[in-house]
Amino acid sequence: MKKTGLLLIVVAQSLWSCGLNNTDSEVVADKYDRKAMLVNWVDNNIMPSFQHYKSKLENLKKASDDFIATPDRAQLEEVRQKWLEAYKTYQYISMFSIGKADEIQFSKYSNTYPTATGQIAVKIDSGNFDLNGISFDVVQGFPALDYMLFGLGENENAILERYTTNTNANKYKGYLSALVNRLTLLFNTVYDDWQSGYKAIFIQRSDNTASGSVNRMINAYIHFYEKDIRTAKIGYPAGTFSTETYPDKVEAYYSKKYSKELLLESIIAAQNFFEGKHFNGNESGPSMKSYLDYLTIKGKSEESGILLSKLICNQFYKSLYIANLLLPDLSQQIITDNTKMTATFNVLQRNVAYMKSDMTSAMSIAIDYADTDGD
Amino acid sequence: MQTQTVINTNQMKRFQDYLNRTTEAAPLATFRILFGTIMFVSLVRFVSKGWVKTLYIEPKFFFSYYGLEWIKPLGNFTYLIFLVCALSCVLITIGYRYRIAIILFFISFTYIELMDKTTYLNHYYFISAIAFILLFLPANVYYAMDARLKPELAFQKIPAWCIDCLKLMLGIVYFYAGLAKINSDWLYKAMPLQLWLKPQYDLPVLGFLFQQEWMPLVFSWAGMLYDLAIPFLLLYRKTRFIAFVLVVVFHSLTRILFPIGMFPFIMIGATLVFFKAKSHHKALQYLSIIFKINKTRFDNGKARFTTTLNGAAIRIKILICFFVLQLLFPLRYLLYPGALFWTEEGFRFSWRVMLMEKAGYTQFIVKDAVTGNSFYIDNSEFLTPFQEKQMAFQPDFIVEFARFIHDYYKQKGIHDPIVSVESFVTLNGRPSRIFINPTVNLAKEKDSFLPKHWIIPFEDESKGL
Repeated sequence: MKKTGLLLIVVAQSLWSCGLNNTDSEVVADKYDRKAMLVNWVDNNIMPSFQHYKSKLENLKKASDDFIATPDRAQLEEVRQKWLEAYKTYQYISMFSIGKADEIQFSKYSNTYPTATGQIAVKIDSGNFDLNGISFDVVQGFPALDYMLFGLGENENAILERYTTNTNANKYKGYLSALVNRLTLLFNTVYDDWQSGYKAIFIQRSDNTASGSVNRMINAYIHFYEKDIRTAKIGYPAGTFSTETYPDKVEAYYSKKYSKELLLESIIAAQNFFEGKHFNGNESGPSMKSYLDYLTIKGKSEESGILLSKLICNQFYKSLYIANLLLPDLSQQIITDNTKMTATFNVLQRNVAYMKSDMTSAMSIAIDYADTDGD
Repeated sequence: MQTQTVINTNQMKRFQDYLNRTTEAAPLATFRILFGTIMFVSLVRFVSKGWVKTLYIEPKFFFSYYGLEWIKPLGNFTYLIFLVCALSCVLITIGYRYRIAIILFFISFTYIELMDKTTYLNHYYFISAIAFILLFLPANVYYAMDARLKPELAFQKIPAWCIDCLKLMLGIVYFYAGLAKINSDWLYKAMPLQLWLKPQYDLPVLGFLFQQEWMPLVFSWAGMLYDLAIPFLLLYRKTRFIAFVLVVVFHSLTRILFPIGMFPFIMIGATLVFFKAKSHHKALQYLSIIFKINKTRFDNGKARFTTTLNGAAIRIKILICFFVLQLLFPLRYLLYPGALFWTEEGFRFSWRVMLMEKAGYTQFIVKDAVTGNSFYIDNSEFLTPFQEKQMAFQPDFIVEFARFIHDYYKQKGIHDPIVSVESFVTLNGRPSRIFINPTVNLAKEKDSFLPKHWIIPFEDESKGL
């Protein structure tokens, strides 16, 4: 009897309280709409960045062809420049490892580092430039090009020697060309798939299941942030996952001046995507951020009650600030003062937790691809 | 003293009378057929989705239940367990060599369920519990191959308690699931339903309603009341039909809203056992027409009494123990300090179904006790994303993995590896907060039924049963 009474009070109370809530429930203007977010991602981020990358790859192809035709200092400088531009744009598209990119392991073959210089030497020597094969990820992509353009000799003259007077000069040129072609082919496979139907499928799969596009994309995005940025660019070389440091495991190791720049680009890419920013321009559209805002999910901080989306954005800014204090060559940074690297790791780390637990939980995103049952 | 004994003998007599009461065997026969069929479909579905490979063969590490560490997947032979299990379902369905079949099913299914606790689901536990009960029931005396082949073992009637056991089990599942929902998160905050329903905006009609503040509350309350009331509504003849309609509506809805697999079908099928024998006879008659079975041969009017059942006394004793355990085990959480949802001490095997949205993040750190060198662990080196996700918010997983890490790096030459963890967990939409004491060397901690002192207490409130 006492229990029933209690139950009645509870019922009455909650009816009253939800009635109260109902009166001031404002009409949410920008209500969350997964399809709108997918459309924004595709039209304003994925496709524009793809097109940009495509043109950068074409530039790289042209520059490398020119260099192969006339391997001189000016052309070397040109191809290096185009390589850097493409590499920077790559930071914006490698997170889209869904669909074809996932299937062909686009990012594994485009950017696995450290590159295996010994194996590259053997390949060049053999004259067999076949790059198809699961173990060949370490002899191709941007890191291999980094080695071919910056690491073949002590200085530019020594590098140019390989492409000119060296007995194997033709093979060096051939391998360089094979690398650029392979990079282009990998991307075109992905790009063509998006153009010829995947785009529509991606937008159409707006359901909230583990295999729905939002789920797949956010999983890929978090993977990119956690593994490709935090772990690969900082964690591994700085020895966060081992007992010693590995200065030679940084991205773009042989050019010795771009690793920080690439890191910064990738953090900006991650933040832009989170905020739904257009690739060309400063406007933004429906995104993870606006979705979190719609759900009004609060985050934890000293002044509690700050929106989670705000906390994540702030953490991105902090990450950029701390990462900006690093030396241009992260390898050098590890040798001179590794604590700055670990500081960067830690500042990046916080967002892994925010995104992997708070954000996915708030959005009911399953952190796995398996469509297993729940109960 | 004298009266006491009289009452006791009186009660004993009433219990004896109850045990001797008989009822039609048809409901148990349809239950057996449905159970076998649905489980067969479930197993085929599980294998065809490739889950045996992704869940039990590909992972390098498996999370074991405390005390059952020896139960592990058997590599490619894991398929064999599934095969045995599926074949036993076929035998159960047709009622051929039922006793052996149900034993095989119970063992193989429970083994599968216990191989890796990452995949723990209440409905797997439910299947094991039902299979356990079926071990002791004469489900093959009516409308079964066994009964056909050995007419002397064919009976139209069986002890009533055989059917009541199944009803009681179902009642416990629903009622305890309902009790678990009486908590402040569920009833006041409509959590986690609010989180789960809002993203379903694209469903017709419901999608719009889910955006209203009050809708998740309505669902929360309705769910709680449904679970508490349904066993009773099913028991009383007058409310039975409407109760079954509710069962169908409720489970269909969960099927639409959540990735819940075969569970809704299992529950809808199981609740049919509450219906009178007449409807079951009708159903079996239809089945007889389709499969050209002579049903009348089973309607022999013979009754099997408890006294004529082999080992009846021991069966009844075991089942009584089983149900006492069923009633008490879900309440073990009361013995633990701390918030149940946070520590999850006593959470599993208690019919706490779809009760919370929890996610977390764990970063393990290994430190060499001699050199002081420390480094982070990349979980994905050892765990699948699914395992990593499940581990992140369950302390017993965390300590088991920590001990594994300890052993692994000890072999790699780290001196007396100290394993600690940085972890954040979010519960029912609350901001994530620190979960495990980061200063504790987890390698020195053991999983046990004792309270885990290294869980940082829950700061927020969550009141309820």
